[in-house]
Amino acid sequence: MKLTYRTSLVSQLYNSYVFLDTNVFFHAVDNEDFYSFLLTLHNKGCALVTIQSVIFEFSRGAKTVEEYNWYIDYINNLGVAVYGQAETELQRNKAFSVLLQAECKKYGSKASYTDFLLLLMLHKFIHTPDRVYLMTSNYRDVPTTLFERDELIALEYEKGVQTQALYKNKTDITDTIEI
Amino acid sequence: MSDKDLSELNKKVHDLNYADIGKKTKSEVKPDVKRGLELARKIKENIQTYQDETDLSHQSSITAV
Repeated sequence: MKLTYRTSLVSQLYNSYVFLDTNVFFHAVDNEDFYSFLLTLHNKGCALVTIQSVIFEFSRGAKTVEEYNWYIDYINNLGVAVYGQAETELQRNKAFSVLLQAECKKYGSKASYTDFLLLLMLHKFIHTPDRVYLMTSNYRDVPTTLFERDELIALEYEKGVQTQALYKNKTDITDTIEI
Repeated sequence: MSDKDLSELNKKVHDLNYADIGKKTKSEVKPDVKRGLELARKIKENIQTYQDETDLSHQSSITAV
């Protein structure tokens, strides 16, 4: 297994916040190199964050409290913090929520509720576009009219390649969406 | 399950590390790589079992139709 990414990426993400989608955790469990990469980000001053809805999706396989704790311990041990205000943001920023939904539909996205909340969280920090990112492999769910694909991380397996992307806010979205 | 049993079980669920962006400092967690890899192995098996069961339930629902 091999991991490919731009060499300056880790230093670029110093002092940044990266929201992690559910697929990031699945890939980390499956790929030790990717797990090490996430640890490096944490150790080099990048804050890894996620939302409760991601924890729900990731831990879906647990049938007992003991098994559930494996998932929680894994997330905690990676240094990932959970941002608990995602759904509050839905209430606080109703207008953008509507626009985002419309834009997702226009883009042909089948974004899940979790994806939608993550995109909403990313937008919350639109005034700091170089400090807050979303890491996901669900490219088709992220409208590029609103968000910019900034970096790609390639995960090579014996049977193929998977990629994770880092998205950030576009700062000139008023030209691209109808308000 | 009684409320008391559920309450006891609730105490066993581990807490997530909650943080508010910009208001708190970054997590001071020092990751334990060995522990992380051990948990990954358990979770991988757990996910595989879940997927197998999901596939089986899917097949049985098709049979039922």
